Amino acid sequence: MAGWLKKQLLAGIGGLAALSPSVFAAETLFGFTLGVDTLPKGQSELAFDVTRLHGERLSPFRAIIFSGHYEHGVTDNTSVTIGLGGFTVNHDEDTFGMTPGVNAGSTPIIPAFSEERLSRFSLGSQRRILSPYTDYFGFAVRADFAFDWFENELTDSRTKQYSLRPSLLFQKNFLDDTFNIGAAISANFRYGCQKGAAPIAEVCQDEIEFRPSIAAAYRFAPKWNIGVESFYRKRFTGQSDSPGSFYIGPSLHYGDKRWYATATLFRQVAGSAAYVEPTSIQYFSNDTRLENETEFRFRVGVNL
Amino acid sequence: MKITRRTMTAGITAALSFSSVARATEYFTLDAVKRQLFPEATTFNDATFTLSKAQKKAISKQSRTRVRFDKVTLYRAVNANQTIGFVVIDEVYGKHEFITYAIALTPDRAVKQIEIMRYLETYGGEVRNPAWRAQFAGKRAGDVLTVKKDIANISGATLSCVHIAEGVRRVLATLELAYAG
Repeated sequence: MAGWLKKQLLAGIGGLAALSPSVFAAETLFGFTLGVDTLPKGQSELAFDVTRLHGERLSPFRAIIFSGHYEHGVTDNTSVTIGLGGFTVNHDEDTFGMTPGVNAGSTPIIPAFSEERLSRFSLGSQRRILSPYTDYFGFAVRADFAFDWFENELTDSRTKQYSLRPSLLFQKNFLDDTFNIGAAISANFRYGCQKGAAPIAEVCQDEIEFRPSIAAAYRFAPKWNIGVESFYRKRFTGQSDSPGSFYIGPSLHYGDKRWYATATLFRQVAGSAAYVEPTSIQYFSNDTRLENETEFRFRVGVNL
Repeated sequence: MKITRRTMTAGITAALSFSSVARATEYFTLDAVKRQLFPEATTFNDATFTLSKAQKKAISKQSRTRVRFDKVTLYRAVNANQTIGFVVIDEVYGKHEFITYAIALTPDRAVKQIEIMRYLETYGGEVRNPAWRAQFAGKRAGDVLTVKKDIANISGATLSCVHIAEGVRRVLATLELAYAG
């Protein structure tokens, strides 16, 4: 029982890391929504972000999905990005309400454990078509490719997933560019396979995730922007569609000449009760759900 | 592949350390910029004034920009008891901070020269390029003074170019109102 649940948790977190749209494009004033700006030609940035998840419903866990990106301006309107990502998970001892030694034997059903994994490689490129500073609104196109892998030693299974995510990015600035509104529409096409130990056959599945988002940021003091951001997520698979989920939350951005940081807190306000449903992709063959109602992301970037 | 928090922390710390190139600079003090713009001046008389609400509205309308501040920091450059020009110290928005610059005007209120005094942004420091700043020479109130029209853009420094052009447009409208009105 403990091994089975631990396997589900690890696989679920792996699924979350794969679903996490941790792409990066220059310094944006928003948290998750990408801005249209690209780096000037020859300039480079490094960005790191961590997304903290906390779940209680399936079992008490705390997970951090992390990623690092390097971006380089190829031209003044085109940049390329390369990134690595992964996750850490810490799971508390969980007795499911039973008292060890009294109910159901003398040991916890799930002992405390901790795992850290590197699980993602990504490439991306963004092209700015219209500038929000000189055109009526800003517009950029972007494409991201990601390869996710996850090895589960408990079950000796290996999962590989490929995803391609084209995005359309819009931005309109007001009040001398101190009040910015951004919007992004993206579709994430995923294809993944899980290969277990013999005699389990390889299981493959594809999925499309539709994810529009909108964000606003206002510069209330030099270096400081405060904002609000929202996104909607809905996934379609060949077998079933997930209920859409709607998230909203505040963001705070600090930008200095050499570095910047953005914090965003999301809370699900409508839609599916499940933050992520690993059954909709290849990770599970049962209906276990890893639920999470809040999501906190912190990003720090440095100019090289 | 397993990683540790120590590895993550070390990576972030290394990146922050690597990013130690100083890009922000204060290029001119107030006295230095006045001397740079009018080396022949013997004195600079403080002629700073405050705008009324009606004046701000009129300037905003003529210059097609927001007028954020009431105070106009103005110096009259004098030589042999003659006004040989004006110096206006102004600020416009950069991405993170304000860009401080000085505009030198001829006695009949045409732009003589502009100088960037303080630039704290990560990118866009090319606005200090003399050739770009030279585009403003001779501009007067009522001129288009718009990036991609009569002012060339600098790729990678668009926000700074746009805001400085707007700032010059606003300052010219302000002086026109103050002295010609």
